[in-house]
Amino acid sequence: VAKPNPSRNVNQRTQVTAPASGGAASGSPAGARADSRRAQRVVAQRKAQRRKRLATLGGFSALTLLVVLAVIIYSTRDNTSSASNQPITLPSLYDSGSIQANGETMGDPNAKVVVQEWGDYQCPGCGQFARGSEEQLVNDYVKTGKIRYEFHDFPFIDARVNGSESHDAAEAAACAADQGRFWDYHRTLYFNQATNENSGGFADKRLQAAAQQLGLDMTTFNDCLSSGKHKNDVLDSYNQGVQLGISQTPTFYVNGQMVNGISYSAVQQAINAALGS
Amino acid sequence: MGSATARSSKRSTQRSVASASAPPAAAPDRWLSLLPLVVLVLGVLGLGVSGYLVYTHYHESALVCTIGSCHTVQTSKYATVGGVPIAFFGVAMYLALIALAAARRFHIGPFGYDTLTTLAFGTVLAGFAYSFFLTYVELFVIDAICQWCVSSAIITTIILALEATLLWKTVIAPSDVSY
Repeated sequence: VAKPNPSRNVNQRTQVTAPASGGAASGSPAGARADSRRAQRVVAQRKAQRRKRLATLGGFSALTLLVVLAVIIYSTRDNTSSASNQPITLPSLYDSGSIQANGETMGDPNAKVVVQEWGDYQCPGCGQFARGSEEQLVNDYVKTGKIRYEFHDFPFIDARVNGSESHDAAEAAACAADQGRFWDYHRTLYFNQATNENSGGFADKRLQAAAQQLGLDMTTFNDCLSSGKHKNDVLDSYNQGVQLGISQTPTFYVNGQMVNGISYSAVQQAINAALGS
Repeated sequence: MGSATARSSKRSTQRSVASASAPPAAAPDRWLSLLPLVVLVLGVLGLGVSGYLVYTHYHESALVCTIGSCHTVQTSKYATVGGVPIAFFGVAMYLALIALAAARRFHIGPFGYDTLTTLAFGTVLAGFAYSFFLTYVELFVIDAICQWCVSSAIITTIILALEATLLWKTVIAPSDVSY
């Protein structure tokens, strides 16, 4: 960036001034005329300098704004296209032999304690729980038959961040549930969240890639997804959540009691309390 | 002001020659020399706001998704540039503005007053332009307003006005010279 050189400007100003102040101070009429001519010259030079400074500043400002514009264009392009092109990587899946899964619930259907998670597939907090604590919850409480664990769709992010990927992902997961693979699909989605919401992370292409990698029947899956077979199920679930007064995801309920907090220890505490009573 | 005292003595000679009718410039000079201090204070405010936004980008929003506009704005695709949260750019801008204001007010560093003022103007102009774009996006694209982001945009706008005034009155067209 070519910076204007203000220090030079200061020097020029001084040089212009110096001869004037040091010059004819005689007070004679001729001296006064010379003074006024000099003063006029000084004024003209100052005007020229001011124009020059303005031009430099204009160029500098234009360049600055161009750089900002470039960043804006880069930032808006960058995120829209790339997320949908990211490959799907499969996480380690739950051992399906040791858990009873039925639709979007897992664990003993007659368990004394029911734990519900209300979540959105695009929500970073839900992703953090799914990737970090869910497996422990499954090992400690589901496999041991202490709880039944239910996942409920609460796709609220789409309404906030222009898009449909929360709904699409929830519908796709319901399609996987049709094939008895809900939890595998659910887990795969949470392990493949995009950094930004509705940026292509759960575009149809990626939802299909996840199904493909899990070895689902693709004809059935694609028909299910494109026909919107579970569209109303997802909407119903969302409306139920609204009626419960859910305002954030993830939200956990243990035997109908809302858990205060989203950390594993908070959920664990609520479960232990329910098991103890 | 090391350089500024030198400058004002130059100015008084200029004044005596170029324009005997010019009003005494002492008052406006005093007023202008206070502006960097105002920018400094505003910069610290802005730093607080953008620092808070950086913090929430990594903490609050990473933990919970609330039904609230700030979350929406912060998780939108406009909230990061190449993976870097824009709040970081805000922090960087306010730090630069604070440094440039402090350098002028307390005469620190090797750069002259005019250079610092020009750099400060360029910095805040870039910040203002980006804030303008983001506010437009909040209002018309993602339909959500984040009060902290708007606060930052307002602070940036005020600093732009102050720096533009400083740049005009002290670098481009100093008032002690009459044309």
